[in-house]
Amino acid sequence: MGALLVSEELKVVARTALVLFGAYVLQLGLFDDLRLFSVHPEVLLAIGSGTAIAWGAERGAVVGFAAGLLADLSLSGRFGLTALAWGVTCYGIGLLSEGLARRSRLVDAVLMAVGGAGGVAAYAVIAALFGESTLGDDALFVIIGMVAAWSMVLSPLVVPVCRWAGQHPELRAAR
Amino acid sequence: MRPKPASGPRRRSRRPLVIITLLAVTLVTIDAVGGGALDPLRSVASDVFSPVADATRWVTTPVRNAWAGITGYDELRRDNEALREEVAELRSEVASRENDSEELRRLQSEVGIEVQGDIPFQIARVASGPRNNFTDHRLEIDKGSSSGLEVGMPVTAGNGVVGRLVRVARTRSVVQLATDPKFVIGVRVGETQDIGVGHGSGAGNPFVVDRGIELEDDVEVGDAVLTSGLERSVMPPDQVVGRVAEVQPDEAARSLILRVDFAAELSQLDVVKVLEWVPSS
Repeated sequence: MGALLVSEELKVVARTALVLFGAYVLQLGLFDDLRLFSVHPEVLLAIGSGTAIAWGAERGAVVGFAAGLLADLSLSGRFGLTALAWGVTCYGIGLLSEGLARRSRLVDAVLMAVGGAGGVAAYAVIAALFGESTLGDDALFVIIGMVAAWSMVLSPLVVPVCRWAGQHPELRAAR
Repeated sequence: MRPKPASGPRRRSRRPLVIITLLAVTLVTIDAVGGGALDPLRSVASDVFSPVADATRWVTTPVRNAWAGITGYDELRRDNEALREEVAELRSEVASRENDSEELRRLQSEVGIEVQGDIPFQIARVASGPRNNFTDHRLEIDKGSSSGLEVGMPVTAGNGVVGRLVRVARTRSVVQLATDPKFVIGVRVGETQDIGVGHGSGAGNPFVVDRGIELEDDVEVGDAVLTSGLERSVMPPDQVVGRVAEVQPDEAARSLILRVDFAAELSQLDVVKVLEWVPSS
């Protein structure tokens, strides 16, 4: 029974890694160029939020952190800033998700939007603490709004994928 | 509406949150204290993922082109009109410059002035623009150490300064753009030979020279600004930065502040020139 559970855990890790690396490649090869009002979707952040919505705060925090680390590989700021911002945000989204009594696709989409906005805002605040000028960026609120909108649009695709990636016989998804 | 079949109330563990926070703070500290100590990790990731990302970009070209057409049609039309006018102006300017250059070469050989040889260079294509949604003064080019590029090499486009290489992987390099407020170089005003120090001031903003040009110096709007190339300079001499767009006196500092329009079109870079020149340490 124990070996079976370890094997299931490994499957979850493998599926999640596959989703994260797939999202990373899509971000670099497609989504970086899909800009609206100069803002592109943050697919990796959406994967973190989607995991938090589907599987709760703890797993959301870990996947959000891993997604942030991947994003940090291609960004020019301090390494680890995005990981910290997104890990904390996804933990919060997971808590919000677990606290909701009723769930629907619309609620998931709204949570995804909150995750997108929260992830960008958290990054702006944390990066500013480390000397970046993110809080003074003229487009700060446009970026927050657009990433939230993009995350909402991606919700019908991302949340089911995250639910699939985290399937485990001892856990049940939030819906 | 679906019910939420959660596994019942349980104690929330904050351990993952604490662990990821400590890990992230450790990584940020290592990166900050080590002055980019984790850059090699980024370089390896760039080498590993770039081919896959390039393949994805190739496959998704129709989607990206369609998106650019839908969202940027008006801007493209405006740019096209502006470029047509610019090409006409440049054609006449090139003819005049060729004449001037020939005359200068002839005079230099007559007077016996030794001319610094042309710096060898490599042409590179811009692989991707800024990746961050926030203002980011970096871009990636499609050549790296396998082509002989090194950190510190200057990057130009259309004879105007673009920036310098700050990270070099095997097949990719990252360019710090001259718009970055942290991009600081020594400059010389072509007409007056006054020496100063300037820096970037953000995307879409002019280059600012705010040190070294004295209040009495006779700098005018339209004067050319070049790199000074003095000892320990990070750029070779005589690279064109741009032309003075505004001269503002700073009475308190007894100096002039120059706002310089870049010669290179930094917002629309496609192909750049990497000069094979490394600053002396």
